[in-house]
Amino acid sequence: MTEHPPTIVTLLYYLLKEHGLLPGFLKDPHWGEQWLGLIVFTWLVILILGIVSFIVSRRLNKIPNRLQSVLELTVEKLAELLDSLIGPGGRKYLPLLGSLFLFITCLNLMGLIPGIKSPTSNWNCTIALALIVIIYVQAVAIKENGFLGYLKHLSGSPKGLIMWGLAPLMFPLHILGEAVKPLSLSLRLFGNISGEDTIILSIVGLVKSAGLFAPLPFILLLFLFGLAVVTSFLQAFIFTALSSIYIMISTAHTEEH
Amino acid sequence: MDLDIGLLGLAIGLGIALAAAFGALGQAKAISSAVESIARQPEAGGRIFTALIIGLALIETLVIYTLLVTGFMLTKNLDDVIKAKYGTDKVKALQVEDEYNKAKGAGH
Repeated sequence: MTEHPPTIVTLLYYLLKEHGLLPGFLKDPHWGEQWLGLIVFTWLVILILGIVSFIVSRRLNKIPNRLQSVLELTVEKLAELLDSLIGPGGRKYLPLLGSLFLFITCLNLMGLIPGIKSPTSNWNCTIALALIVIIYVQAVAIKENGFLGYLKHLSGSPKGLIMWGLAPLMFPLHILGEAVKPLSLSLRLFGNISGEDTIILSIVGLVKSAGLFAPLPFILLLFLFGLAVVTSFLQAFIFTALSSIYIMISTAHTEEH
Repeated sequence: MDLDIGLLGLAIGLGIALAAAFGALGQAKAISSAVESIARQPEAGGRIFTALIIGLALIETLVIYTLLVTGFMLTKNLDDVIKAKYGTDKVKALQVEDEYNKAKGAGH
């Protein structure tokens, strides 16, 4: 269960290594050559998404063709989702949260292509995304409430003598709550995607010992791949929705007046 | 030493089984009340569905935590226990087992 199935990147790496064509900085990676795929596949997704968006947005027609209308529909639905979750001003957080949704969906779905391993099945990728989101949420909270208002919110928004007395007690609790958020966000995404990979590996490992019943694991794999596609979209949606809920919690009380 | 490996296996299996069982119970309660409220007021279906999906993912996170801890116990602690028993790592331990079975004869 701890073996790593080969990917395109590891095959290329070993091919180049045999013929001695490796560039100098790749000769002896102490972190292991299967982690090259993390960087290569992430950059692949970034390049594909960037090039498609650039080509479509260079010449926007008034009557959109198919590709442009698909992208416009995606952007509009994401903006509506953020409006419904955060409140009336939700659209201005669309650049980070919307691109996070598309990025994580593509990263998750790539793991189902043979020869490619999802970057999100590696905890480093998801902890990086979660840290970006949490730091962004703190920055948004400080910008909306001011630094003193941010500290007041962290100590529980005290109104009245008793709550002001309890404020030094609530402060470390809220900071602990904020520190746990990137852990839970990243572990949720990492656990779901790497768990799917592990289950698929285990079922494929059954084929050797199945003998005459060899087609049966493949039928099970059919349903598992359908579940994996649903899980990819769902986990990206959950990441985005939870990030927007954290933003809503931090900026909620500024809309009372 | 066999007691150690046995208890470790029991802990791993029981942990993930209990987590899955209680997680399923919690999710069943959430889905049942969500479906009931959609039936009572169908025009609020979209918002209820969104809240349901977010709630289900939050419950499922706890089960995923258990899966990760169990997987970690399985790969790391099992290797440590086998290393303590045989004095070497897992591959060598499996080779020792193979040689032992060959020496014992019989029809493995």
